Amino acid sequence: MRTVMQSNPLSVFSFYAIVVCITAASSSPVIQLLSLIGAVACNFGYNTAKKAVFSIVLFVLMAILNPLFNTSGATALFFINDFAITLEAVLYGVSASLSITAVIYWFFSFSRIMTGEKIIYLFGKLSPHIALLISSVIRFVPMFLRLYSQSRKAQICMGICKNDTVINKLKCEIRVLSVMITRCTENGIITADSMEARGYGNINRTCFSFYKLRLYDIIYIIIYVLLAIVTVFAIASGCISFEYYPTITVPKASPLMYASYICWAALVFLPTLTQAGKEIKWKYLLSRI
Amino acid sequence: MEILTVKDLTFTYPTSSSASLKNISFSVNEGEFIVVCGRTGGGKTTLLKQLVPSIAPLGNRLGDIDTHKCKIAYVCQSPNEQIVCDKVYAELAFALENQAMPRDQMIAKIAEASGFFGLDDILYSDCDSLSGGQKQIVAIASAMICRPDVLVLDEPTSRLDPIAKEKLLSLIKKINRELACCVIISEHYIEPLLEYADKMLLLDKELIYFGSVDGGLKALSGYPPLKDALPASTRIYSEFNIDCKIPITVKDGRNYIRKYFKNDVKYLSEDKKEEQKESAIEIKNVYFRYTKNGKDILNGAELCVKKGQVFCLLGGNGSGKSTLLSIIAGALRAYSGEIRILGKRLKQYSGDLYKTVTLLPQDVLTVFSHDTVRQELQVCKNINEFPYDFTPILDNHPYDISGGQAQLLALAMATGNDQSILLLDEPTKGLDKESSLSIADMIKKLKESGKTVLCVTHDSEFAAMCADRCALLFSGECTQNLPTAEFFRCNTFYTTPISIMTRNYYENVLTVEKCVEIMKINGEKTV
Repeated sequence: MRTVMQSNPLSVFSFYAIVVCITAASSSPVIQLLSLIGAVACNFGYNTAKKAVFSIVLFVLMAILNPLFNTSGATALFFINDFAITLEAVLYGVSASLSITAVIYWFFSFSRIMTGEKIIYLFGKLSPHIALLISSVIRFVPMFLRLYSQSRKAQICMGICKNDTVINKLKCEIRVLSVMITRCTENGIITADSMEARGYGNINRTCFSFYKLRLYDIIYIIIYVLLAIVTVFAIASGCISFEYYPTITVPKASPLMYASYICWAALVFLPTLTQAGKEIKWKYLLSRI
Repeated sequence: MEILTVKDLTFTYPTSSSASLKNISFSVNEGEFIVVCGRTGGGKTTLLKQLVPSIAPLGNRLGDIDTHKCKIAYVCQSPNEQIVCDKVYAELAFALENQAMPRDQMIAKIAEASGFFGLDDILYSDCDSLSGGQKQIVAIASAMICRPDVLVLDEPTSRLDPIAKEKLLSLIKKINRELACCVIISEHYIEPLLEYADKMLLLDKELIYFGSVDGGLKALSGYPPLKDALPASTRIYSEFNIDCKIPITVKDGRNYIRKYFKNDVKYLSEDKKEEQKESAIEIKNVYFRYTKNGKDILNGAELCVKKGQVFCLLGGNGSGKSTLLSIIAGALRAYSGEIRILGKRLKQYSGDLYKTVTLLPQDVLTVFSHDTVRQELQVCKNINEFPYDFTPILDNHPYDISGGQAQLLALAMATGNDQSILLLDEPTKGLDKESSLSIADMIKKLKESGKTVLCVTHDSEFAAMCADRCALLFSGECTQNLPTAEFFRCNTFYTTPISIMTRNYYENVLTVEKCVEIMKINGEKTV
């Protein structure tokens, strides 16, 4: 059994798509909080402190902003120049920040796990031509930047460009840009030759990848969908939604509410649980050696 | 069995008035190894591209090329530009994807190619992180993956350093030997191929010769513009009329000299030159690293270049040669040590260093920004003082002139403001012998006009031709700082082929010209 994050990019992507969409669509702070904890757990051990500082600052800022612009709500806490700060607006702000912070945390791990080749694999399923385009762009950008700094250095060290006044600096940039355009066009011809010499132009192109959709990847996707259906059904039926304005209404307890909380928790903690399972298994295996 | 036949091929580019190829006829058999030689601009690339139907240049083509339905793969000289994808395995898969091959077959093919070409360690790497030599191996592997019958290579090693060159050429021989794949290769550096090749093709717009290697060497030595491309021992052989097996390698050359020539006169009399006392570049205890925790690229380097001297700094890849030049030119800063230019500390120049020091980059195409050579030369104050005549190419695009001319053009632009100190970063990289000689010539002329030249190079023959003094940069230090003759005499590996051939027989002979001169003075042995 492999962990959620090790499975096929298609299943990883569907996990993120489902989790992020539900987190963003739900107005229930329980769902949001669970999602945030699950996301933070996924990022544990990767720049934890730096991300925490960033997200706490963001969280506080967003939570403060809502009551400053929104006066709806019945319970006024205090007044600033006749402007009411209401309890409902404060709580709504906290809930919205929870949801945004959770989404940001999911994207932190998304960008770590979905490397260029995984994204190319996904696009390769859609269109091999787009996949090739992305692959060559990924290669082109660092090449372009290196060429830029090389050519800028060459111009300055030869005394053709002067790096002193603003006008001269601007002239230098224009000259370098002109070099880059000529050079990139020229390089493009060589690349095109190299592609055509290897048979490019066939309409039935495929996209190669080492990833393969195996049975457990499909099982994972089915699990995500089943867990998500319960939560989505609960959200759609309104039985877990919080009302903030004019006064806060907490949803009544119901079997569906508990079921959806449990399913949602299972979904967002699945990556962490499978990861922990793997660690324990390795410990056990190593101890037997 | 014939797999490729070219008959009366004449080709003219649409924008050109004269033909680039005239009346070319030859045929290639299965599994042959063919070396194509010719001057730059002699139509080598045009001919090789014509052989590959999918990339044959457009233009007026007369005559026939019959490829007999065989598969032809093509690899060119630019390691960076001919790679398409970001990862090595994706690059290998590229040709297979174009054929819409099923995934399992693709994996099998990639596994095979990765094993044969030794790519297992770098299969998942970014193509961008590879060295030039590795990139060329990837390019060849991804061309070979479709199992072609003919592999066409256009100067595959010209952008590589000597060690990577050697490695790539032996790989190309392996492809021919073990896969029985026909190889057609054009190359400046033919020495390691001559003993192996089946046939030679000499091209200078017209077909000069096509046939066995021995005949090819004879034809080459009788054709002045191409003579310089020959290995040193063959060039010596071609100066005399002795009927024997043509020497190709250094070992052959050494035996040839010893067998047929006397050594009564051991060395040529040389006029002692007075060394200038004043120093132009002075470097003391310079330390440099790229990142805070990285290793020192320069580790207490010390160097002194006198005024009016040509100084060549040799050294392996990544030994910090180019870094040192960048530091002297003020593009990078050493974290410790003292650098003086014309007696003044580098820090005191503050922005007007470019009036004294000029650095010519390795890749001179990064310099040109205009459409014609004429416009490029406008940055020079007085172009008439530059000892090269650009008149015939004034209206050409800087990308269309030969590599040697581009190097000279950049040199003219670099010295345009009468800078007295010239820093050159591998000026002969990717050039054929003829152009290398013209650059060496130019450096001598610039020296006569009072310029100081510090040149970084891999090319020991070039250094032997133009340097007054040489040094070896190794592990961040300059060692073996000696006058050129002594430098090459003391070295065992970093030396010229002639120096090895004449070791213990003649003294202080480094170049072909000097060697021929001393051989003529001594005369042939009477049997």
